[in-house]
Amino acid sequence: MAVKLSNVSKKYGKEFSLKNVSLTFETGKIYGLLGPNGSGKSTTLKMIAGLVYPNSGKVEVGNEEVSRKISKNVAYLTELDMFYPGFTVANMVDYYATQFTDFDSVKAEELLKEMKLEREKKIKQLSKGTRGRLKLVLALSRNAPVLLLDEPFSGLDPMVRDSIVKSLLSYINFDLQTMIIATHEIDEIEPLLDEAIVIFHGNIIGQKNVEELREEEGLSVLDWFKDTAKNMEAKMNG
Amino acid sequence: MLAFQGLLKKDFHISKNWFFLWIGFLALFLILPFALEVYFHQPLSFLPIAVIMLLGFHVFFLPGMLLSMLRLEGKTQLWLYNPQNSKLLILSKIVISIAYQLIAQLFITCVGLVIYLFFKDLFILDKADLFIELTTLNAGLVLISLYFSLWCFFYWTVYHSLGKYPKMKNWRWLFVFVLFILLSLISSFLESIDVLQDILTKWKIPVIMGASFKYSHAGYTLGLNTMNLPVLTLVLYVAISVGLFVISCLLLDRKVEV
Repeated sequence: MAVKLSNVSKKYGKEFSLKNVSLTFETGKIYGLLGPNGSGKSTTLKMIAGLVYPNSGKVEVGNEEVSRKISKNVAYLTELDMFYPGFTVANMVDYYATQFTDFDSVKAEELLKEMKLEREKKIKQLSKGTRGRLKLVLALSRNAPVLLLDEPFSGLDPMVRDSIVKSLLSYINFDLQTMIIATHEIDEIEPLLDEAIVIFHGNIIGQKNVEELREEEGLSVLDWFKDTAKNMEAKMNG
Repeated sequence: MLAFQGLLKKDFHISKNWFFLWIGFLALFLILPFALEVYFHQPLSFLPIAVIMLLGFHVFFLPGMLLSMLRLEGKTQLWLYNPQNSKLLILSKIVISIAYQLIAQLFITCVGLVIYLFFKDLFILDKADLFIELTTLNAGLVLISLYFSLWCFFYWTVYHSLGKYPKMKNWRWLFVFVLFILLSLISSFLESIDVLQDILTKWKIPVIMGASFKYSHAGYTLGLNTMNLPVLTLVLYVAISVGLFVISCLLLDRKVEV
């Protein structure tokens, strides 16, 4: 299912979080939305998930204009602490299973084992990293056509990051799912990406096919990101 | 149905501790006057008053419980990341809160009945059908508290709808307060129009709207007050409640952001 942003702007007071952004995310591809903190990555994902509305422009998932109900087609991993105090891992998994018809409980059990999460453990007893893994379990257990991951590696140690990248590869349906990962930790996700998009102060300042970038320009995503951001900063400073 | 069950289960989980705390508080508030009565050898000096007070206080229970759940959800607003209708999301919280309130009221009513059974001779009841009267009283309390809850829900959604405007963010409470005053003034103005009042109070039905205690040498006189409730006013309150619910859900869907 394709995702389309057409001339989308979002303002918080006088500040633009997104400025006239037009983007298309095609089915079956993995996109990296890259940029420093406060660049508009999270706002973009929240908009696609129907949790934030644009001041102008249009956001569509499939051919449906995004509203709150779009969450039926969009699996979203948030950077925020989404868990309820007093809930166990099992409570949270069971709750998701009742709310999302595409939630695959068998897949969830496999992922819980893989991520070394105990069902009966209270969430408040989990470390930040383990909570992050639970968020991934909840998002990846859905067979939603669009998968949004906002800072999926936040708080995770490097060993865990590697295993998560492997999990992402094995639990995604590449024919049917569109995946967008917003992060400023580019190294980890580079092997996953088909396309990289750089967002800076609410503007899209670059978009590249990762394979072409490597083969034609001989650059890694991280190098290209650094160059693009540096050029933009130089332009802004005059 | 499965989705609603899931919501109910979730809302029960996030609120059960507050409910048990409330039941504990009720028990304590009933034990204290009982202990005083035993100490001073003055049976029924404090306990019946405590029972009636606590029962009446439940008009604030449902709004309080609903707001405490909304306060928790409002921290991130990620409860809105859900394909269910916002009406269903809030309905689940209301159902759970009503269930709690009914249990709490039943508990107090039972304590009242036990007191009555033990000291039957000291009570002079001026109503024959105690069961129906108590049921009506309890149902009335729930309905009044539900009405208050819907107002609270409305103000809560207005408050959070303003959250996306940074300039207003720190002054949201003032906006809500001004709105409250404005709506109260409009309501008072409408109430002062005689023609409107005449229409609204034309048809009446008798209902139990509260209880009163009188103490005399003969003992306690428990009076369950009957009031003539105007039907059209009742219809108006139902319409206001539905309107508040619909407007709040629309705000929740379209204006409250994560």
